[in-house]
Amino acid sequence: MNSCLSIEEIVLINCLLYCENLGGPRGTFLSISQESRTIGNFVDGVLHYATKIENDKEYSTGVTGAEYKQLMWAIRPMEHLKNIIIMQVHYESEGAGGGRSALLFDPSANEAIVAFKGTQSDAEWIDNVSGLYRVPTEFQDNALNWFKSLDLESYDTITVTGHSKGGNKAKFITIMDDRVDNCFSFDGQGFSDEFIRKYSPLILKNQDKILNISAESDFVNILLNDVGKKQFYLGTNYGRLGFAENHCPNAIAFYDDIGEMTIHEAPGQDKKMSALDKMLNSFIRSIRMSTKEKVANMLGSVIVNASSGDTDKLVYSFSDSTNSDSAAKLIAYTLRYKVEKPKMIDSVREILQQNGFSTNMLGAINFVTNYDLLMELIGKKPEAVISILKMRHASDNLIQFLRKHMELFDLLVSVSRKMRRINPLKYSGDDLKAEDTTIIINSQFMISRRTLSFLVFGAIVITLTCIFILWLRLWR
Amino acid sequence: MDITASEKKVLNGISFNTEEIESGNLRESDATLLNEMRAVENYLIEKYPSFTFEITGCEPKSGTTRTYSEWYFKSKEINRESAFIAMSEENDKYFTVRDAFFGQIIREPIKNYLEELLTKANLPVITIEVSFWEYLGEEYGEEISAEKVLTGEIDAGNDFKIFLDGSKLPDEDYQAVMEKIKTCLQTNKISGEVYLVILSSCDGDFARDRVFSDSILL
Repeated sequence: MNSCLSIEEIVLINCLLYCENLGGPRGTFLSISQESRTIGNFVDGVLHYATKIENDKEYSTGVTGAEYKQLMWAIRPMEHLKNIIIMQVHYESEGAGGGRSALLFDPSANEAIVAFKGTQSDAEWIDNVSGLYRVPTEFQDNALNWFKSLDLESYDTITVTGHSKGGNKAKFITIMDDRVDNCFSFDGQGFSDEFIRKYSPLILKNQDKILNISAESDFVNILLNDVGKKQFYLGTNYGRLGFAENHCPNAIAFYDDIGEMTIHEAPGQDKKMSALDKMLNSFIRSIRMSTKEKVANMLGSVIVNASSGDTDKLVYSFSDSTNSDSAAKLIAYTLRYKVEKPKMIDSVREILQQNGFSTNMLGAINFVTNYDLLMELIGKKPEAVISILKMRHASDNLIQFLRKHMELFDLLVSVSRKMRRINPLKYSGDDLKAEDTTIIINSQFMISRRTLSFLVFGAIVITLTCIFILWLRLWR
Repeated sequence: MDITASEKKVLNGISFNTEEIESGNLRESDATLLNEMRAVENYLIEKYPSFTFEITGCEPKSGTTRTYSEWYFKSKEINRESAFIAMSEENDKYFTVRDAFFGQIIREPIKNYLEELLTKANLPVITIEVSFWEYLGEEYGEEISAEKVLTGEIDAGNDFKIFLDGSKLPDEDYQAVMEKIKTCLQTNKISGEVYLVILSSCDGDFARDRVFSDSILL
């Protein structure tokens, strides 16, 4: 990797991408009116109207006006970063979900920096989860098409970066376009098994250019298989947003007494996240391709409602008729997984609690785990289940929770049925590596196992056809 | 419900309910988004009757700290890689929409006027880029007055980037050049913000060959 940008600068650039209406429209970083300006000019402009920025207001998800001001003051003495020029701002014109990105230029190193903002709305998760069943996704393709349209001939170094979905786009471009020299993916999710198998030779060729930067408790980078090196950083844990804060772009930015920003490497990923990562991987592998889209939509819907912090909405996303079968699969899988790896449920409980959710749902789920046969038999009669729970001195909270969400009973019966058909140890939870899916013939030639199996299959079909034709001629 | 293919594409990008969207049997939340999308499209058609528009995407407000949704759109008559954005906000079941497309109508006359003005003031202008910070509502359609925008009577958030040929300036006193531009524009009652970039020569690269850049608030 040969970028002249420090990790601190990368983090700050990614934070800037989210600046919207800080003290007025001049405070939107990804605005076409910013083209030709330097980062320093943007920062000075924002600070000029600093009194108009409300300290307590959230200007982008999880980042307040006070935090943005802190960020701007931290950039002020950073001459190298301030001299970077905003060359082009792009608003996505194809595909449905929107998206903004920018081409920046570091004149001191003749380095092009292509940066992708992660979309902030709930709609982000539609494309995030579509990565489970679509290779590549529409957002990834759009990002690559825009990247290819840029004239990058005159730059000595090409660096791509992005946060969240933007980080995933940056990795995708690095894999698909050999011109990229460096990729800094910040809290970006990974790729499906299908993707890794399909593009393994390209991944092998370019993965050394990728560095994944993640907060130790970030929950987006755990999705799917990572590509490239990983480095985790300590989170600031301001505590305002609880668990959701771990995914904010400023979650790893610490400031000293004079306002200088620093980041601190963590020894590794938070153990809860690591456990959740493995469980999700093995769960996704247990799903047939034909049902992956439904499961992906359910997962997205659950994540969106989980991040809203509303227990009722979360329950609805599980019990809703479109999602209930997929949700039952996920819950049944989690419960069976829990039997094999009991610490897992503690992680889920801790995450739910940190996010302000009622963990009564887990009480109901525990009951199903212990009495799955009974639940299957009498689950359709909620009052009978509640009576048994009372007899067993279940907490009042749990009883009240179930009475409030009677729609959960159908789901719980479905979970009990599915539980006995699941073997959670059948599928590995480890990330799939391109090395595992590729045959390297020599340093110049690699072939994916998937392509090789197509070739071998083709060769067998052709040989059999030839034998059949020969046999027909001889027979005549 | 009848939904066009492009509407389905946009909805599929912002909703998990793929099957319902394909069948036209929309859920309430998706029906609301469709109404909003159609309101934005009608707003654009009515506001700019000489242009044709296609909404290509959306970043809904849901899950963000914004009070409005951003709708991405293209115009057949304008050839540019990037989309345009319209912002829509719900007020008592009606949508208030604002957009920045008006810039396409007044950009060229304003640019020509400024170039003429600064050239007359003996400033070696290479080019001027005109853009606007604000998004304006239905009150300013195709008939929007460039003059009123220039003078700030219509607050469009004028932003002018002026590129000068440094080799043709008498000396390197760039602060004096800034003052000269400020006086020239203020004398002509022009309001807004100027970003001045001085290049080493007239065919210099806009990024690589800068010798000076700074902002001027008019």
